[in-house]
Amino acid sequence: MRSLLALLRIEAAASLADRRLAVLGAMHKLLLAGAQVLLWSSLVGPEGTTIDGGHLSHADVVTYVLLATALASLAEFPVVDTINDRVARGQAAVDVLRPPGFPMLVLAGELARFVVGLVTQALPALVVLGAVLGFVTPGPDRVAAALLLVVGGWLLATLVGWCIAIAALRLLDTTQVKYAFQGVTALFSGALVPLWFFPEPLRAIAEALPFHLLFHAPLSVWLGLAGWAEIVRFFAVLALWLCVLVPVAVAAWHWSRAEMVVHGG
Amino acid sequence: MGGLRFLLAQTGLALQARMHDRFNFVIEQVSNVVFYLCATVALAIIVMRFGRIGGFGLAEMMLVYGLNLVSYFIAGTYLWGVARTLEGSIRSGAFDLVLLKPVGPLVFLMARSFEPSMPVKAAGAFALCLYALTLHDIGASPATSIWLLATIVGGTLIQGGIMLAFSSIGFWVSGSRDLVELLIYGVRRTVDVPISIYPAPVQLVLTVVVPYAFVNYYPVLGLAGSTESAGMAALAASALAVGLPCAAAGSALWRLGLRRYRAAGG
Repeated sequence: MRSLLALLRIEAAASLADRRLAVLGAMHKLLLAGAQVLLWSSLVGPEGTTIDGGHLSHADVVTYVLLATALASLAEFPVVDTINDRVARGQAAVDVLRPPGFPMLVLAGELARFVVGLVTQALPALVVLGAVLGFVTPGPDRVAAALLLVVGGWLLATLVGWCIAIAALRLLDTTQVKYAFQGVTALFSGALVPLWFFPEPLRAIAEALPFHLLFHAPLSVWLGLAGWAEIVRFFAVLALWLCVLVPVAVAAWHWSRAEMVVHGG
Repeated sequence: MGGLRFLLAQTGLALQARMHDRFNFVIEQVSNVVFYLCATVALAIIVMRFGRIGGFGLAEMMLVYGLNLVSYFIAGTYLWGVARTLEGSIRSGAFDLVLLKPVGPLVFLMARSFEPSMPVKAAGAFALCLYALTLHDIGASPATSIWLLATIVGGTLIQGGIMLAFSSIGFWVSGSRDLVELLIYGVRRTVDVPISIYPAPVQLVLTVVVPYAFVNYYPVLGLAGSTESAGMAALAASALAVGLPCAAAGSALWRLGLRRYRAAGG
């Protein structure tokens, strides 16, 4: 545990080393979030819109858009680039020899980058735009449930990304497959359009896939649009998907590592 | 002429190199199709749910999105790589070697930056535009074909001019790669939707300062009303009218930066 925390600290420091990059990242988030807020504000108007018999106020929509933009990296599978880059540079060969092990090194790095990205890039945009345009904050119980779902969602997305990425040890380059996953995830997770606006058949598909746990689930909880029974269901489905994905990720690691070739080794 | 021959020869070589791993190339194209198909479906869901976005229906929205993509992909085929790598090659000193080549530095960098997947994506975006036109009331006609061609050529000149202008920042600002990416990628995405949804100052910036609005919004606005008035007809042709000076401005800024460049130790 101590070595994991040390790894997290090192990775976080590395992510923060280039401050200018962090500022640019924050500006990028601000630009994307601002454009999205203006788009959705023009669609729902000041009075909001109805969904599933309920009501979504303008402030709810702004909050949804800001949080979805803040969490955007969940649908981008950055672990695929990390692993492919390490394989291409030959760094993976060194990583497997280091004490924490390749999976732990990669996981710690991804977690650190996700947290640093949230704090340094997404949070400033969230605070600035939230202060100007309004932001809905629920009670502490819903905040805690939503945060737990985000953590679970990050693990889920990282495991999916890991399964795509680790095949690079056999196939040399799997970055291209990532784009298809990014597209499907962005659509069916609620990152681009909240699932409440989907036609029924598409919504059924979205809810059958794991990706709705990345955006739709935590944001429904945050906005108070999911009751506690539904929140329990979200956690149960998340646990189920993690139970499926962990063995698959482990199997993918063993399958790929068996083919790993270290030149000159 | 020699520059063009060099560019084409290098393009052929880059294509050969990329096609060495055909499976990967095909997978990449399939992935790209899936990615943009999902984005288009998302757009269709929004229009189906809310009727219109900024006064535009489904056909116009698909045109707005498709025109932005097709012109970006065509311009990016040679210039996106230049925008991403120029600052790095200046910082590492590799740009000095580029200046020693027997072809112009821009042509050399463009040839080196050729991205084979961009034309494939452009073809997909073009198909989306054609599909959108079949959905549109105005339908397909010789006039519509000329409008589409002029808009794509004009849009490509605008996108190319902006890419070149933003790339040139690298001559003045060290470590500007991420700023350039933000300016090109982030700002361009704001015109994935009609600019009429934005407040007036933002519309003004996207019309006058960084004229992305002429890539899609004004031409599509003009398309529907081009038979009604001369003003609308002018809007329909606006991409080409703005594209030429925009490309010239981008090129001028590049030359200005190049003249200002001093090699390390020189």
